[in-house]
Amino acid sequence: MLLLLLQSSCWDKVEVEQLAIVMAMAVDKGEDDLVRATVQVINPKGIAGGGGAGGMGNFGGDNKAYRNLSNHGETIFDAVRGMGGNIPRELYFSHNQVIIISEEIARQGILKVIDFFDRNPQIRRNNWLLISKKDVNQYELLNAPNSLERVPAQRINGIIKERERTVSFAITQLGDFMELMAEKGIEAYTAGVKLSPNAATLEALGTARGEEENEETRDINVTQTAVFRGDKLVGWLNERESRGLVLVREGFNTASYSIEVGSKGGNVAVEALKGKAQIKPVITEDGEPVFNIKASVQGTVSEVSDFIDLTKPENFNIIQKKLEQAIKKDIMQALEKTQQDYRADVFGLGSALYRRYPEYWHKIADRWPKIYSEVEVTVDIEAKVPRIGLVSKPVKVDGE
Amino acid sequence: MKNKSALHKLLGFIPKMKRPIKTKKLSEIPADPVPQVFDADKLKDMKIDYRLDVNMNALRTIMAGNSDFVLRKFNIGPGSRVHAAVAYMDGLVNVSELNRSVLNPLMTNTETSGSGPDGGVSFERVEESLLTASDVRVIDDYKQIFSGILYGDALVLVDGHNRGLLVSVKGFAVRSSSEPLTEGLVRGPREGFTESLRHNTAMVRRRLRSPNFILENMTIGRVSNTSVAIGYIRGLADPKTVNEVKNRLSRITIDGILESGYIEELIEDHPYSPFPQIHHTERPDRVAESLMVGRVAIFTDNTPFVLIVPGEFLSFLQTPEDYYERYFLANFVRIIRYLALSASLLLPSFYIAIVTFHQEMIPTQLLISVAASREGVPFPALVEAFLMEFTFEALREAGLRLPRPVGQAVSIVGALVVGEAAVAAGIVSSLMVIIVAVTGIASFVNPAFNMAITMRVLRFPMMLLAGSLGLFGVMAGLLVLLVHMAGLRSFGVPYLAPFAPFHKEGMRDTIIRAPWWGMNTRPVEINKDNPYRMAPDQKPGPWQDKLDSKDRDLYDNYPFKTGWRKESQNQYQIGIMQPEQHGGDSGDECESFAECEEAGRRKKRKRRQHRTHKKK
Repeated sequence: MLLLLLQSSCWDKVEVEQLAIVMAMAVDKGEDDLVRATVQVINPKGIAGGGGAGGMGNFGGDNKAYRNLSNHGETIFDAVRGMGGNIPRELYFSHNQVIIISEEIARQGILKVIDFFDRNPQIRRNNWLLISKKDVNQYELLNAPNSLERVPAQRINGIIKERERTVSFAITQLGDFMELMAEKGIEAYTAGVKLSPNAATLEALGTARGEEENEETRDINVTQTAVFRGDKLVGWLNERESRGLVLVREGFNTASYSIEVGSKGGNVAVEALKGKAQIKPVITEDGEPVFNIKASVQGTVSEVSDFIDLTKPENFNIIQKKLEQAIKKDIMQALEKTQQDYRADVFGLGSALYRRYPEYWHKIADRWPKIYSEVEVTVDIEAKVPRIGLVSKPVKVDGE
Repeated sequence: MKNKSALHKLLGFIPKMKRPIKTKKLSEIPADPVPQVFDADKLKDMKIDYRLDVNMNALRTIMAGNSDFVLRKFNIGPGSRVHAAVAYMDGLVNVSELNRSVLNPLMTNTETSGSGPDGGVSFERVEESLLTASDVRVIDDYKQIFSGILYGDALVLVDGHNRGLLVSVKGFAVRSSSEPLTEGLVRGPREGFTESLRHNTAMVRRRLRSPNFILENMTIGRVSNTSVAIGYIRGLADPKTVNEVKNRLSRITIDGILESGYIEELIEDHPYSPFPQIHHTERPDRVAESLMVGRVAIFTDNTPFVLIVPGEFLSFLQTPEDYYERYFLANFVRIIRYLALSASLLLPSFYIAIVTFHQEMIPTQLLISVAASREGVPFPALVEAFLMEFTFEALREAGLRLPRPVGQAVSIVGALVVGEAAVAAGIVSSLMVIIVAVTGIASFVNPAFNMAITMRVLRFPMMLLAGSLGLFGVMAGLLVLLVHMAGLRSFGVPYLAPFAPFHKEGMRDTIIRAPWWGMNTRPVEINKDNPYRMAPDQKPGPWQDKLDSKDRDLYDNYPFKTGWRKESQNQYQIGIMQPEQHGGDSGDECESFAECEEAGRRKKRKRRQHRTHKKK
């Protein structure tokens, strides 16, 4: 018995310090039709600062928190294994958080590369899938830390986790993305990522020290939504449209809308809470499917830029109506774009139809993309603004 | 030559000194005649003789060479011809007490002369009216003599009588009761057992002032003749358990019992199991509490540790304080204790398993911290853990054995050297130091030292399993432990009771305990026949006042199984099983427990038959 234990002798034992923990992976098109894979490996000592530096002064200094590796290969696996020559540790994907695929590859068909992530047992289905925009250099993207999050992968992850504050993109995890792709009556979508200059830092640095653009001056920006038809990227939804998509697909907890109210063009910012939506398919007498999207939102007034007396119910009604319009506009625009330009049913109207009328769906399943582009969709929004913040009447300047 | 004067002898001796001293080989030294050994059987056959001289010679022969043996001959009454002798062990008797209650009344008695048939006093007169000591026993053989005087009694022999008197004048130095070192409490009595058996039993007796608290004496050890007392409450303790304890104790044949640990190892059910199956405690209140749930206590002379049987797993994790503090606090402490128990067994092995095999199981940030602290450590986690655990255990043991002031120095060295320096030198990771420290603290949380040690020792095989098979190994190890524990029994009680076998009633006092008013049954497995320890519905509240006498009556006649019976004048007979109560409601006459049980069974059978008939 004891011998049995000893014989097995820890065959899959790996000490933590022998692992290169991968936090992000990026895939781009490389030279000569090869795939270029980039992995971001963290340096625990650099990242855990306090713990590492506590007893060991000699490891301090400018210990970078991460290290990027890149390699070309026929396949991603090929490329990743090829990195073995560059790194003294075992690449460990279980803690990978972000997968970034370039727009170029996505437009040609994402299936070619995504299988690696789906098949590898170490990579989890809850990895965030992102599409890096056309002009984004993935090397730069994975080399943009900031002082809050020292590893770019964690920075991206953090942005995604806090996405509810500003709903400007719709994102899916690897597993969900695969399902959306495979399922009929719905198309896949996920968020895009790009780099943008950090104006605040850039100008301050530029005027004060005249330095060139460095890592601190670049912001990682997760924004917009990539729309897929099948496995191919067909286009993007902008921030507003993405917001509409999020409301219909997942609902949201907070999203900010600014609406114009009053004769003088005063703006009211409303924080929309508890956004929920429901798709209801109906088959008309002619045998045509018609959809009704019903959404409900609760709002809180968070900023008023003009004198609007919020104690008056009629003003309230105006705000609610305007909010409804704004939300409706988001959804309608997104619908229009996906129906007419992309012909990709990211809203899942088809699957709603299938759930409601399975027999009917089977008859039209093959023709669905075409039907979708012409189908009639009505959108009903029910917005309520029950809270107005601490101020009910804004300050009125005398003599006005 | 025999008549040479002392001077002659001296003169003759001096020149001899000048001779070279011949050293003899060992073999040339004539061996002493085989010493005569007086064992219990031999002494038992020796009866006290009529003649005082014969007895005194016999005593001198048996006690030959004993410097602390005192044998004194005296006359009863001044000028009397009646000889008597007193024998005792110096240091074991209180001499002034002996003088006051034995020698003084006997020697100064003036009315004795001529009152007996041979001009002496009658034996009965000595026993009944002359000796003023309270505890006087009449004996007639040497075994009793020695068991008496070696325990601190004084022997009085009177010439012309073949009996002796043992007078209890014990007076040896005994440590006074102090707060128990091993089982400290915040709330509860501060009294602890001492090394004196009598004091110990008295402490328990003070808590259980019932004639049904029985203390039976035994003597174990051919040389040590240690007194052992078995304590139980008649009617509460299972007679079978009591008999079993007596049986196992009587089976012990050994030279000496110096601590109750000897007995524990000689009577436990599973000698090869790492788990303790018998409690030991220094607290009289704990003994009293255990007796009241039907356990049996074994008091051993010369040790403050009293054994309690049976001991099931859960009872090792409970302290008397659990019952003294309000249940709310007690439960909190209990939960902490259970967590600490699992930590002391599993924490290092979990750490090893996760760090060497299952890195995907911990959150990313934690993994990064772990990896950062492991960076540069030259050993695998398993070796590292063994190193640290070994150091910790060695430090603990060192602190325990050394004199207290030095012990503190050791702990400082341990904390500084092992804690700080080892991490700074990069030999161990700081996280491992934390793990070992937490494990150490957790193992001190356990109230029973023997159970804590078991967990500490089992931790090492668990670590090995974790290091070779990962979490799978840890789980396999846990399963093996569980199966092993499920197979244990302590004096007939399953070790995992009341979980396995499951008892709903018993659940009220397991990981959490119910408030006292909700805990009206005793532990089920220990006490099968006599489950109720309190009347129902004692939850305090105004409604209790509103009960009129009729309601009261209803509660008084609540159908308890046994043990709670309404006696005359509204007296409760708590916990005492009368033979006629045992079998069923009433009427059956039976004398022994077995008969009672049989009667009860008969009755149940009848009732069942009756019911089935009704259904038809």
